[in-house]
Amino acid sequence: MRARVEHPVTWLGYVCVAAAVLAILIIGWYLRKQPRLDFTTKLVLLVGLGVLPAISAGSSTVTGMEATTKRHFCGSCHVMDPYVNDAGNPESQSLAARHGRNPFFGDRNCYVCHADYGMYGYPMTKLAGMNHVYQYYVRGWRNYTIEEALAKLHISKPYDNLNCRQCHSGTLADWGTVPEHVALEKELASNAVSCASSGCHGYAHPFSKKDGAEGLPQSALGSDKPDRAVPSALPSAARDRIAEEKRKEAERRAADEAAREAAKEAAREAAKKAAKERGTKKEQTP
Amino acid sequence: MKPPEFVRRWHVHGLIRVACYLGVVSMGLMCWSVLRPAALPVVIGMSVGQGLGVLAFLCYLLAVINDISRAPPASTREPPSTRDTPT
Repeated sequence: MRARVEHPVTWLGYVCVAAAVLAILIIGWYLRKQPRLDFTTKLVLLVGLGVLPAISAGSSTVTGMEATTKRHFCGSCHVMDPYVNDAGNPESQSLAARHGRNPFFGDRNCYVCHADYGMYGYPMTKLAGMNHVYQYYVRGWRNYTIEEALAKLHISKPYDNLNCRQCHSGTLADWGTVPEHVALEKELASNAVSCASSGCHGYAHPFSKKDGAEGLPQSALGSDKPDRAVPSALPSAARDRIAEEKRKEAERRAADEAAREAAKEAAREAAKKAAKERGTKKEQTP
Repeated sequence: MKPPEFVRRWHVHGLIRVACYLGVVSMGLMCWSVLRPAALPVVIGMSVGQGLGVLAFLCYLLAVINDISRAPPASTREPPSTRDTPT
């Protein structure tokens, strides 16, 4: 069943409608009265056919472009229903839903994650969107059932990890402490391994994958399934590198722990020694 | 400068009437895209709607140019002062 979608009209939308209504009133007046085409009539018609439609066009363009970034816009094609419903579901633990609950993404989460970045990112994203509309209305996507759509429709190109790294910056120190990140740095940079894959951070839309819930992270599955399993599609060299990095990370943690313990032991010894010295001084004092 | 002959043949009021109808349709489409921001209305509002709006304005401009070019030039008109002077 299709979810009920709200379309709140923004103030710019009201400007568009108001300008259009005024223009239509002027046009209606001209068509009804058919006045003589003197200077005043020309001026009034310039407002009705030039100025007000220009205001209407400008505001409708801004409103329309803004609307294309909203989740309900993506959901206006029924084949997107499972994705949109999941992204807006407060109970869902998929990557898309968790990002949708983040106020930074909110109801723009489809656009923020799927828009290409860079110099030509915006027009290329809009062109891709136009292609989707063409495929939906002309090439028959609109006749697909949800099951057919889930089976047949897939992302057109591998998801670019750069989109994740716009927010989750790879230059932060924390990012570099994760063994998988360090071991797979090249694969992540070349999109050979996706951040949103099974074994890493989980699929963004797990219901659309054959292995379904396997794509969900540990937090969504409970404690009986291994978290951060090494992605099975990786070549053995990459798996070895991950194991090596994990071993190094474990060694680093063990060394840190040993250093902390040694520091604590030294502090305890120093305190004991100081107490002992204080006791000796008290005995010597008459 | 006068517009080409085939343009001058178009009736001024007819052009403005066409502009009015095109304008109404274009603004209807633009309002549709604002009130129902789904894929098809937005695409049609921003392409067909705005295209028709531009066409309507061009028709209006053409009508005004035609009207001005048909009016007799100011230098050939008889000045009102000579008509009103008593003989």
